[in-house]
Amino acid sequence: MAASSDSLADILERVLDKGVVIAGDIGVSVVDVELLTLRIRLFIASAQTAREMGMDWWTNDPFFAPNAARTELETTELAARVAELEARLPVPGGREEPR
Amino acid sequence: MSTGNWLCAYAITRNHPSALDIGPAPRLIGYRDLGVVVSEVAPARFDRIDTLDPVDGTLAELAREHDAVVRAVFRSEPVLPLRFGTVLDGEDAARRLLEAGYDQARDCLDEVAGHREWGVRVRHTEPAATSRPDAAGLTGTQYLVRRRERLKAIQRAREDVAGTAGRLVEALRRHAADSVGRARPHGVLMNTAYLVKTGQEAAFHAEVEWFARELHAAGATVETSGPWPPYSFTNVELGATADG
Repeated sequence: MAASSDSLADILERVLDKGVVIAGDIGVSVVDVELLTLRIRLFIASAQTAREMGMDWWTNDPFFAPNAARTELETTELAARVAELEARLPVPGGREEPR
Repeated sequence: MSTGNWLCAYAITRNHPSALDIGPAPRLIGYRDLGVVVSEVAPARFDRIDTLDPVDGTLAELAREHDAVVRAVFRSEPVLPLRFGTVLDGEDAARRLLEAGYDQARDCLDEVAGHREWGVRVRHTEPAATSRPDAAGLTGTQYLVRRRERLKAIQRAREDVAGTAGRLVEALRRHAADSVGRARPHGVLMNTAYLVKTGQEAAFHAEVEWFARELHAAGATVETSGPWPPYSFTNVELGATADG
């Protein structure tokens, strides 16, 4: 039985890697497509390897599923930010010396 | 009017504005019987995109947007999808593009008109060659014989599946106007895009189904994707510096 799947990996593979290229001074590419393509190929290769191994980690990955919860990532970032801000606060009870 | 006004370009199509249903934002800029679908874009949206970590959703979002516009055009007209991230410097540049690449774009559009792209992938997950037979109650020689038999069976299965996948590639080519091999990550035996005339699609899919049963019995899976706009069959470069 043939399964049909238009996954994000398929879309990226086509949208980023294929299509008419505009040369000369008419069009500019705002993206370094070569670099991006390489990155995506590596990503797709690793995603497929992971699927074969039964590791569905990307279903919660915002890159693969943009609507997936990003809470974990955001929490980590927020925690780091809080720590950074706390470090800048004057010591409680102490007085900051003017410089 | 056009200075500093960047236009994100999605696809070249025929100049039939009334036939298109592409939503309010993208619009068609025409030159003779060709048109290019564009929308206003803030260059900042693409900032640092080529350095983005793949875990960032921005890239996926932009890629889906590009695909959605190309598909919307493709529903009613033939398209030549443009490479993601193509930006034109205003409406005049868009017309100059169509003027400079007119003959090439028109020929290519005629070639893909009435066709859709389908992707076919054959995946084969082999049992790990490192797995060992149960050694309990076996002599050393018996154990090694079993192990060699197992490795031989894996090898035979691999050859069977590869042979069938090869025949599938050939069989599908007969139903397609064109075909392009695509990257094959580990475990993927075949990953090919076919440009199929709409009238040939039933025969094409019947062939896929037929081979899928045979491959499934041999432990492989067949995946199809599509229909796609002809992304993989627009391998042209347009522009003032292009020859022709």
